[in-house]
Amino acid sequence: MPIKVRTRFLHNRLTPVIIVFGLVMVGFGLLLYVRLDDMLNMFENEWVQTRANDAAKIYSREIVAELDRLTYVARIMENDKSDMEADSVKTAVTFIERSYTGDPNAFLGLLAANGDAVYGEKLSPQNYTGILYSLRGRECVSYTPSGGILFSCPVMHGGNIRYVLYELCSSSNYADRFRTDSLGDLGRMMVMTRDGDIVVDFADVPKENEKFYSSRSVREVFQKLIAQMDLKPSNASLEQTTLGEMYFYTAEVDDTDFILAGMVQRSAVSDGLTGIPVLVLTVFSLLVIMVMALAFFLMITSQRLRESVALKRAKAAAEEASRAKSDFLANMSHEIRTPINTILGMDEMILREYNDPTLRKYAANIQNSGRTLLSLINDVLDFSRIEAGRMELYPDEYDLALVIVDMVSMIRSMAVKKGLTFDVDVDESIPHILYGDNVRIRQVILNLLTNAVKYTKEGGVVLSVHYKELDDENISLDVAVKDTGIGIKEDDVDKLFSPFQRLDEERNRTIEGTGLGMNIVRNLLALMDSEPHVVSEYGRGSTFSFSIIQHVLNWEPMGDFEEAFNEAVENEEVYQASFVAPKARILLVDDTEMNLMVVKGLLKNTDLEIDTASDGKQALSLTEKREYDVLLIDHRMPVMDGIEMIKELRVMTDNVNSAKPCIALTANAVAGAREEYISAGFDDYLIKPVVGAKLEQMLIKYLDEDKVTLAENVNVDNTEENAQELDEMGMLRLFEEKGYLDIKEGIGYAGSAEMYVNVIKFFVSSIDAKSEEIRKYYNEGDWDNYVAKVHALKSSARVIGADELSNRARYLELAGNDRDFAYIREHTGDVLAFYGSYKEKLKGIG
Amino acid sequence: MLNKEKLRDNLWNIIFFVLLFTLAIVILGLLVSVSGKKNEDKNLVGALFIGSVNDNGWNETHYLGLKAACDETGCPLKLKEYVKENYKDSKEAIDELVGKGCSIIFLTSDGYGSELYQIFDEYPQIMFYTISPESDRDNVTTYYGRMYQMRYLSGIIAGKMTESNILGYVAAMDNGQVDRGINAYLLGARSVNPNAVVRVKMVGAWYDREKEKKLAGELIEEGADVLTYHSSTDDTVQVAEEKGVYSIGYNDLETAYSENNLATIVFHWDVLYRAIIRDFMRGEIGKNDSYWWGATEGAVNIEKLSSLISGETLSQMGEARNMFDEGSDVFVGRIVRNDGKVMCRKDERMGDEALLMDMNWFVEGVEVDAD
Repeated sequence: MPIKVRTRFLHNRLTPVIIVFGLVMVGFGLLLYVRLDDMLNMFENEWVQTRANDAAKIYSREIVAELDRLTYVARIMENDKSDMEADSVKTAVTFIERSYTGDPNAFLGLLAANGDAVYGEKLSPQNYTGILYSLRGRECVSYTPSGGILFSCPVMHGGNIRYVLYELCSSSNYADRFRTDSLGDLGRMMVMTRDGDIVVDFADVPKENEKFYSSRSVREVFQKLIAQMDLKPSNASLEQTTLGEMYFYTAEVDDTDFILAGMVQRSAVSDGLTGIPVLVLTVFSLLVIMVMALAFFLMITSQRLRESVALKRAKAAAEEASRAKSDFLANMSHEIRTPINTILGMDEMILREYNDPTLRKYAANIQNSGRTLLSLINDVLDFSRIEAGRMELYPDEYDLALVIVDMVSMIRSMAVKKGLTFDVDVDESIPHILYGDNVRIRQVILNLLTNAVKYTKEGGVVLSVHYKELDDENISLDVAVKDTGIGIKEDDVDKLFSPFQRLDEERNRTIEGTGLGMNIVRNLLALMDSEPHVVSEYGRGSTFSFSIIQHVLNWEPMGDFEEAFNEAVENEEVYQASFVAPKARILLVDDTEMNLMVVKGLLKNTDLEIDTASDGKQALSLTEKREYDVLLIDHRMPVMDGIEMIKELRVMTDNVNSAKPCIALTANAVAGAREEYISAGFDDYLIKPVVGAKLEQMLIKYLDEDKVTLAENVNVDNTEENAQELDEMGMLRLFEEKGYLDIKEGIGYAGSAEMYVNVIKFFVSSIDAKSEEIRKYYNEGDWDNYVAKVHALKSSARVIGADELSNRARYLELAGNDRDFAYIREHTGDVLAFYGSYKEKLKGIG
Repeated sequence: MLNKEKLRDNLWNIIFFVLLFTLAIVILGLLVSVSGKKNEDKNLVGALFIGSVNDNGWNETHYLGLKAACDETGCPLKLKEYVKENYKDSKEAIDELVGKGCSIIFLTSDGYGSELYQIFDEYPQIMFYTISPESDRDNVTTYYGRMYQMRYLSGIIAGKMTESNILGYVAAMDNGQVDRGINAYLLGARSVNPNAVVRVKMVGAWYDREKEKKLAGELIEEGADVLTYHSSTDDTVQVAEEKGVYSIGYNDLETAYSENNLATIVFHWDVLYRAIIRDFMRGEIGKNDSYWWGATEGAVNIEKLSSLISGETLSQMGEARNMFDEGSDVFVGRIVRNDGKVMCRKDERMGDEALLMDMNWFVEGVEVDAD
């Protein structure tokens, strides 16, 4: 992930911008540093200059002070009131000697206006510019070519010069008297003229540095500084020297033509300032880094933001799609099941009301197909739901015995019809009330069982249910389905659980199914934290098994389930209404007219008064007019659905039906549904397609006791008991024991035992004629008719419950359709013989 | 359209841009404040002239001298001509020159003095050099030649050559500079001819050819047989030539005169300009120095000496020159004003200041025709 992230950022066009910005900032930073450095240097430089100026001023004052001594004398001479014509010289000399007590090493002199020496030595103005200047009326301090310093000042008379008074010092004398080292801590100083002549050299230079201080390069720097002084009184520059970084400076000494020059170590000057550029640069760098970091951060977050926005949108879109899918599934569920519900319901009506064998045969076929269709559609819907991730488990408490019983009853007949054995191996000590999604468990086991039966031609199927105690609340329920079927090739085991794929397509073409079953099994087991195991031998058989952890609600052992089974079997099928309630009235609300018809049909024999409405609004207005004992309300309806209606009803305090029992009818089996309906105000709910028995039970539960008259249980046992009074019944039993007939089936088709006997009689009586017909068409090679007659045989055999005969006839029919002459030739004889044997077998029925 | 959500979403962006902006401002500010290295071309020279630099006289000699000095030192030169010696006109001209980048400006006439002090104050970083003795500011220095020394020498010639002992002098106006010249002339003449007298007629302006001619004529009529002048043009000489009278030129570039034109005293301005500019470039700008250079320095000279001048005269001139070289000067020793006052005693010497500022009187022997 990190690598992907990085490259993503590299491609982002902001990254180069930020990098360029960074580089530009680095450039600026350097520039800043340089400028700052310059600023500081300028500052230092100015400081040095100021100090140099101050030093020069001090020095100048010293010199001027000396000059002042001369001028003082000159003033005195000037102020002398005596006319200095003749004795002027003498007077002057006296004055000088009296008042001037200078240094013995300094030469004093007095010159006349024409240049002659009056006292002391004659200094010619030609050689001594100071003398010339003073002759012209200026005091000055000048450097003499011989290396001395000349102080000279005129002695005036008005605007005219009378004398020039001078003091000439040797350079060493001058250097002693006018020292530079006490002028301030600016390193070392020297005094020079503008032309570069040294007036006072550097004082007290340590021996090792002498060369440096007297070097030409130093002079050159000073000359350069002087040249650049312009109108400023001082100048300074930073130079790199052998003694380190030094500030060289020059400053004019006022009132002289001298320049104070010197140098000082930079360190002495810049104490404390050097840190500043570094500090500023640090702050600047921090600022830049911060800005860049912020920029990167912004870039990253904005990218992430964009990504997350994109993700959010994608997620929303996906959720939208998923929701659409779910809605579709839900709708489809409802949409598809409703007509199937109708088909099965109507079919059920036919089966109940009509005893005509042909009709019943057709109806039975419709029922089979309808149920198959329903199961196929359920498979597809389940699969879709799993794909959409919408498959959930809805655990509830359930009775394991009932589950097993239901499944066994479903499979046993299937197996027997195929001539297979079906055995059940159940551990009787399994705790019988468990907590789990029994619907899905059933689905899984049923899938396995139906597959086992489908893919087994001979032998049988064994269902085994065992358990292991895990802790004091849970068990591991271990279920296995073993068959002696065609088996699965090792390579195909993986394909087994893939959707849509069916194994050995060629061979198994005739076996019906969508190929989804195993996939659903695996997914459902996965939801239960389990998985299916397969052990198989091609051609010999397979064992499918799985284990699921189930929470135990009641540790009481299940007991012998066979008993329960038999009871259940006995209570099954033959339908008669279990109650009548002619005085009761119910309101039936459903938007689909078919459904209304179905329910009404189912309840026909109860003699209930049934009112109908096709939406909640209609229903509510009916409730305002009449009193009902129970209301059956469909959930999904237009205008006002069931939930809305019940809520309304419950708050309609002046409605007599407000608190009556209401039962929701819903096509969706969703757990939590119960809670939903209860909290909305319903008392209970039924799942569509409505099972007649359940419907009746529900009504019995909620109708007033006194309005209900329970019918005596009419069951096979009774039927059989009644039949026993007849000899025929006994015989039928015998036949069944011998395996000739399936009584239940036959009675089922016939409608009653009496009818059944008649049917058998009819069957037996027609054996000869019908088998003759078959033989005839067979011999003639009239296959169309042959097939028709064989088909008829199949049906009639079925009707009387002679399943094996029926099956055989079916195979002939199939072979005939396929023009499988080999098979026909091989088996027609057998079948006819078997057919004929029934004359003997069923003899006695008369 | 600023809604809260947009603001919230873009908050970090806003902060970022604010920071960036601040940074930019900081940088800009620093650059601006710290930049600006002084890079003056300190060699641009400017000059003000009262007239045309082609006037064959005062202005042209200045111009030639200045140009020569500038060319030698490699400094570009910018001129302003016909600039009157008052504040207003001078300021205009100086402003322009400074605007062009001049760092040193020459004011080539006597009148560019105290009236311009305000201007000097306005440009403390510009150095001004003026002919006027009034330079009481730190950035102004007087420069001039000791023309009086040449007057003295020419006076020797005149004194020797005159027969009438009347030396005619056409003077532009009665100011220190002119008077000094006249006085020196007289002293020079009297040093060889104690009877010589200098007769002065005032024009009233530096430039008035007609009047000059007229006055010159008058002087000749009054008996002067040597004429000289102190003005911008040489009309006096022309008249002298016409009348066949001796003349001595001043700042005169004309060469087609007869031998009656005994000599011409000239400034060698280039000497001064060269020295000044060199000093300036070397940073030797003394606050109170003035450049008043004379014969010794070569700033003034007497030239085009006529063949009519005798050898004796020449040697006397030579002696005087030596005197100058040795440090002596013209106004040394006893000098008496024409009203009898002793201006300088015999063992005294007149100071530069007095010479420059206070010589608006005439020595004994000078007759001024106050017309």
